[in-house]
Amino acid sequence: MRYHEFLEPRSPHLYEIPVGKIPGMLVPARFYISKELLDEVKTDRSVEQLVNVSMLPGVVEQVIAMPDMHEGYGFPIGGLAATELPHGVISPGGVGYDINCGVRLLLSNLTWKQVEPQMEKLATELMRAIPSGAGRSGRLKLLKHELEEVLVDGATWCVAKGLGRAEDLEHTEEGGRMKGADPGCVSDHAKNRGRGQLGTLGSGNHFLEVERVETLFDAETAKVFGLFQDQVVIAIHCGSRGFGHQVCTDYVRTMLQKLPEYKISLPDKELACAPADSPEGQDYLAAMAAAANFAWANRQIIMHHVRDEWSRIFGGSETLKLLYDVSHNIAKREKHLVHGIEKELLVHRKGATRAFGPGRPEVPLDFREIGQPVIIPGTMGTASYVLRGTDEAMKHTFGTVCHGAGRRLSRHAAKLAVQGDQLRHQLEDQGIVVRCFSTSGLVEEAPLAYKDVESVVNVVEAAGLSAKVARLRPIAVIKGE
Amino acid sequence: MKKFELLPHTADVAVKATGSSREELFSAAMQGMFEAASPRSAAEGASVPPSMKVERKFLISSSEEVSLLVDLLNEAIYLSATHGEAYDDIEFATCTLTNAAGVFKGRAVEGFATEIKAATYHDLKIEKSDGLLTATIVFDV
Repeated sequence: MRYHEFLEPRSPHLYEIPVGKIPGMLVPARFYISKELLDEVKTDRSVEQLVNVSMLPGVVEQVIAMPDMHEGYGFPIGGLAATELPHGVISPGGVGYDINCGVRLLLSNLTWKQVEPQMEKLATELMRAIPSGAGRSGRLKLLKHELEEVLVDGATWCVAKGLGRAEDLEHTEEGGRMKGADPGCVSDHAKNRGRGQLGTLGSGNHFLEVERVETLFDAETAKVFGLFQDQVVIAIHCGSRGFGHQVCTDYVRTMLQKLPEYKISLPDKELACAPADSPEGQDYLAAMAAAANFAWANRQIIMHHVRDEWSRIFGGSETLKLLYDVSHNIAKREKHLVHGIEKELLVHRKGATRAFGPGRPEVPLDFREIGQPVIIPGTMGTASYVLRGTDEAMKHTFGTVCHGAGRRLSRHAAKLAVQGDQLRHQLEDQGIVVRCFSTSGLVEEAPLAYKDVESVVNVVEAAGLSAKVARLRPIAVIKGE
Repeated sequence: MKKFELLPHTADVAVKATGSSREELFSAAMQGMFEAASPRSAAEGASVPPSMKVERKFLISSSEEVSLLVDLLNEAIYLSATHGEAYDDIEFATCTLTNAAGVFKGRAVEGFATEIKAATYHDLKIEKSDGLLTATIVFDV
């Protein structure tokens, strides 16, 4: 079946496959995407995957794909679905293997001109200080009970240990601690995989990036967020490492075995799910919360190390402030209007970012009148964006937007298209300092392997789902492999 | 002769494995997985004895053959990640449609160029044709 042939345009940036077009759909499948970006996904199965998601028991209103969509496991990356509590399903595939993969943005008081003379040194010291790459352990060695504390308390554990400030928690989704986490619902396999990895960046598309504020689109919001022209900022992008991967593996396995008992039949095993109020559903939610907390603790510790290195180079009084930390692989209990009635939903965001509008209690007090900051990392050599959430997102997408540029070439294709040394020189010619353990890892993440982030962000802005506040340009990239 | 090949996949890695028996197929899938992970040999890092040989026991029970393959590969990923090892062979004591037991055999490594998060069920089928079993497994990296 050629699923994209069922797409009906609703506007220049919204397409839909209505209920009834494909048997089994319970809600419409909506795609926030431009025609150009849509042409890119016709070669993968992401459209079909979103249609499959529309068949999940308990799904309400609509399922949505964002403009950075591409083929994933079960859900497409860039996919979003909400199921109604208490009986609607929870699907680990709707969260992803890297539970609470996310990004945080730190703001300095310095301009690019002030930082430039020390840029090479900063990049080298950050590379040295932050363990990255597959198989590399963190600097923190946790005892068993300490790991369990981290799983329950997340970033709050770190702040209590002196690895951060109270205001960091106010500027992190869920305050850096998702309630309901239960280490008893996490396997020993997951704990063993995660124990040595706290405070590590990982590999693949995870990175630490030093950036400068190149363009301000909304001066008023920028001021509230603490952004200014040519300001140097630092992005940290990583997740729950092997811990989260194992939690997902464990529960996909568990839920697959229970499908017949719940009389659920699925077009794709990676959509394995269970009713949210079933024992398996409750256990997964508790384990997912533990993994989410691990990831917040991870980013908090990395930020602590980054602050240390920054202070060493620029002086003790120079500080880095956290703008916000967003998750883009998570399921959350949230209240939203469904056909005009407020309902409690389980919102699955897989490669999609929460972008709550003004007035929501979940948005930090200092941003509540303006809307939640949204950080959209781009690719090396291109740009990243800071956006703000809007009322339109609340009305149309459960307060959600895209998460990044979205991949368009396989790692294999990227390696064929790009020479490692050539890429390094290209980045360096753009003035970007590169620190990476392997050229192969760099090439796999080359800008041409990704969609154009500007096109992606333009769609969500044109649709009214978020508003651009600033564009950031990379000046140093630090990654594992 | 290699009984696997690495295939391009948009975001991740796919391994096409073949074998004349279930044991051979499963071993080929694991070998392909570790080739994709590109282990860094211990000699480069010098923190473990070079080429230190290792063996890890496993015992897996699943509901069907496809799940058994995924569960076996995920167990190899778990042991590899927690012990810092790469496996190049499997000695099976048992391998039925739903149960497998035996030993992963390999060596200590310093790390991997590519971190494999998990073996997935994405598009996974075990097919038989002309006496040969084939499966293409997609790994999340």
